[in-house]
Amino acid sequence: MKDMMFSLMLNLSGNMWGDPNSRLRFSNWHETNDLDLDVWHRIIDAMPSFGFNAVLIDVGDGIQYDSHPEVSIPGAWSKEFMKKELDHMRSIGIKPYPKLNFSGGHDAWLKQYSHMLGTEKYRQVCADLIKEVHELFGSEYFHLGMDEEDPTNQRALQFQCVRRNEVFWKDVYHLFDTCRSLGTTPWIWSDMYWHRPKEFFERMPKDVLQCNWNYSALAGLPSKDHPELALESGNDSSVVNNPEDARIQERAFMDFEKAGFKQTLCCSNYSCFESSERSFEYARHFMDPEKLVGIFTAPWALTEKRSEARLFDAMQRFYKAKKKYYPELMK
Amino acid sequence: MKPFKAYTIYLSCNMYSDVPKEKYLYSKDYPMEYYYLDKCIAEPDTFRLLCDEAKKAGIDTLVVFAGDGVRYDSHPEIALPGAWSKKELVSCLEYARSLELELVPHLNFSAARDVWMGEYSRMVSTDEYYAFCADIIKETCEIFLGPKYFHLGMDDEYMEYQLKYDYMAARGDKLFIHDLKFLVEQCRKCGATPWVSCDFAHEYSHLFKDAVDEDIPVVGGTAVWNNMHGSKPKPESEKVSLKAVAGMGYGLICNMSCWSNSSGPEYVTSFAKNNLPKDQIKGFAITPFLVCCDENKHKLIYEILHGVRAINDFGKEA
Amino acid sequence: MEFCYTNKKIFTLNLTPNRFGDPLCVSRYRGYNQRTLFDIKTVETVLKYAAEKCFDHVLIFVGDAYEYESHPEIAVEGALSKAEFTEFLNKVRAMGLTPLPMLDFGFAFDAWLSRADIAIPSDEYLSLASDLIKELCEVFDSPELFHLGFGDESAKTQYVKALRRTRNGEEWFKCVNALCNTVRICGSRPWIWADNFLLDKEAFDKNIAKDVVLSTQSYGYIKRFPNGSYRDEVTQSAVELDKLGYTQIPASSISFSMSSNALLNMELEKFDLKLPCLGQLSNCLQNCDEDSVYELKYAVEAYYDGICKVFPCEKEAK
Repeated sequence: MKDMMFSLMLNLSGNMWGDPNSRLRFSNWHETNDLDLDVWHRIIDAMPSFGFNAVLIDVGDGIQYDSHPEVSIPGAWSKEFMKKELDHMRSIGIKPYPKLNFSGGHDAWLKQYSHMLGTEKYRQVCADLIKEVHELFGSEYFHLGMDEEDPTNQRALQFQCVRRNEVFWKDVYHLFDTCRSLGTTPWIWSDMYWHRPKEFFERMPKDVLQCNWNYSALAGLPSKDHPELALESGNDSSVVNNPEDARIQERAFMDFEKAGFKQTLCCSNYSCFESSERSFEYARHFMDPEKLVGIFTAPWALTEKRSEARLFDAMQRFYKAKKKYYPELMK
Repeated sequence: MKPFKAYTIYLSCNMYSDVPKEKYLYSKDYPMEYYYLDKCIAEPDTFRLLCDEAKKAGIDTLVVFAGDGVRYDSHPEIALPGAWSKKELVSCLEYARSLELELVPHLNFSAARDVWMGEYSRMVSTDEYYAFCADIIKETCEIFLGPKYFHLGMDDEYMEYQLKYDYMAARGDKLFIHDLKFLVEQCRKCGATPWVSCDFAHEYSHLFKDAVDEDIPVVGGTAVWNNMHGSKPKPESEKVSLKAVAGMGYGLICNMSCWSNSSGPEYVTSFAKNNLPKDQIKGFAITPFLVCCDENKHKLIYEILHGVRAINDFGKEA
Repeated sequence: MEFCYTNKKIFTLNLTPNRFGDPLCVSRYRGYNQRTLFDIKTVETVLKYAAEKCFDHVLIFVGDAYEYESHPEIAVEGALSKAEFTEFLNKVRAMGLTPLPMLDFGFAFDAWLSRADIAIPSDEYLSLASDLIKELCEVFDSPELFHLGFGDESAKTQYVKALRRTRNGEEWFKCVNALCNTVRICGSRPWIWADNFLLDKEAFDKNIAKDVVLSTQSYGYIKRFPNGSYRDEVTQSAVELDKLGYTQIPASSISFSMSSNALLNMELEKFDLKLPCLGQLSNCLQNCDEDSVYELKYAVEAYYDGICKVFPCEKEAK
């Protein structure tokens, strides 16, 4: 069995949801870096025992950028400190991957540049930040986010911005080219496919690693262990974004494989107890291992005391699922 | 005092899409004038003709939207190919003045109607954006020789109204009001009283009052005349907004058009008669949403005549 | 202490594994189990953590995890004997938590009754239920409250069951009142879910006595309309029940992707309910097994976070 990525997603910064004065009651804007270092260390140090070999770090404004210090949040980590943390992760067998979310719906961390989408200045800033972060991580994949760029997901924000067609692709291609020029593979959330499948297949380059995130029990997909899955699932999988394509969020796994994309699966304990187990089960029994780069879990919790149990819960579920479906890859 | 009768002349209509017709991927039945026009087709002769017709019909105020149809000294980069020089615009404005038409400059700063700003429309609420707005308002006031009023637009800033755009942007309540306050301040610095749209007045009423002083007339009516074709959230919300600003004591300017149906002006005057206090109605503004060029002249004159007829009928009943 | 809230802070502990699926259901996650699933070490860890944080009561859904003397057929393998259970309750009290019993007689959550070979509903059923209530009241040493369940019995909540049942209003009220009377006879106060209020508000008000404590189950993101009323009818029903004079213990949960649900339910109590609540209930749906320790601790943390934010203490001046 080839090496697979088994990763946890951790937030270094929390400014990917609300912007200043947004009407979000929760997941709001942070004026300073609120990350709890003790919680961070406890999670990182526990990861190997839970079967993880990688961590995806949502960096955002959480480090002190040299090229654009105005983006960094007060209390952001220095690059020296970040390097020290990354070295420690590598020393315990956890490979770090970076994430910078450039979606119009999740880019408040970019400060004034989140108001400049579609401009030359914006593209330059994005390239500078990707370059700096890649210098620290040096990883083979670089997650660019790009999820939920639609009006619905931004309705509580003070600044809402959605790019489409040429404006969107010009910016996105620039991000992809920047990654390639640094020797890293671009990696994105693939929910754009749910809304614009034809455009996605026509324009998305095949070398971009896809992540069709799905936190449900995958009730619409086949199962060897759960024959009556649709009954079992507490989630109504008939609620989809495009009513003409029922369960496109689930069918996407198969569609991407057929189209030749490599992908990662992303599960979560955010909304469904069964997500981890079902993701692992589907990956093991139904996906082409050559095209599956790995599986990761995204608890969508900030790295703070009040969320520590939630983070450990996500790790626990992931561990059990991995042990059940990939026992040979347990150390 | 009788309400004034205003007519709007557009040098550019680059406020409704950022996609030129040949690249348009959305529904094909979008009216031509709503696609992005990458050159200026406004003609000074048509401008003068419209001034004559407007004066003849009884119009007393001319609202002029220049936008990217004129080459500003402070920001020549936004000018379209074929844009008027400042000299050309000044000459047309002098002509209008000679007919004793009061001149009101109009630039729309709504994030949904600012394609004319060029790249600055993609920098909303940044330092660069604020500097641009300040420069352009100042220079426009100089061109108009210190106008009494300045129409800031600020309407339709909903994501739902930008579904024909490749770049959609909208500000939330606090940011919108912050920027509105900034624009009002820039107008005041130039000695002009701004006109602002009534949109959001009922949604953000406490913030709106803070940003919009009592002497600032509030403009509304687009969705009223568009009643048969309007899409959510606008029509009902605009009627509510107009009544809300009336309730707050603001002066009202009702705009009207035959763009979507020939009874548009009558809808507006009827709505005004039945819902708005007469002493608060400062004027009516006919807005044809068409560039002033020879090709459009008949439609543009039609708008004048139809609009004035409806306003006169309102005046009679009043 | 970071909060000032003197009403009951109640944590739910599910000892029975059989709340959702009946023996014939095919669910792997919510199916029927022939033995208990709770891990006593986890139970103690979680309860200790809960007590340290802020909780002072624990609601124990006993179900088939107890060896009833009157009906031994009900207990599954691993169920606690009277002596074991008494010892357990003493440990709970020693932690600073007051234990309260729960037996859910609602059709959606009574899979724990599956082993009882009786027709439902029937007098025999009511007699059996009363026996179980009396036994638990004795072992819990006359608890102040006894939760009888009786939540939503629609097909939606029974989706995993092979055999779904429903009662019409009259029959439902008859069952509820019969068992409430049993609870009263034992010296406790009956407590049920408020779900069925929405089915027929008038009948509910008429048939359910005011001494019955009610819990709304408003999980998820609680939102309001601009006029202040709640968007979802479940939360709004809490306001209506309050006006009718019922005593309530709002229930919150993290099990539906909303970590701030506890905070929102506490705000409901603080800002919208006029009558004093008896307390706030944290209803994590997990079994108390080894796998659930983090989720249960997370539930404790979310509740504590809510209570500190909604009911903070004024800092005393030194």
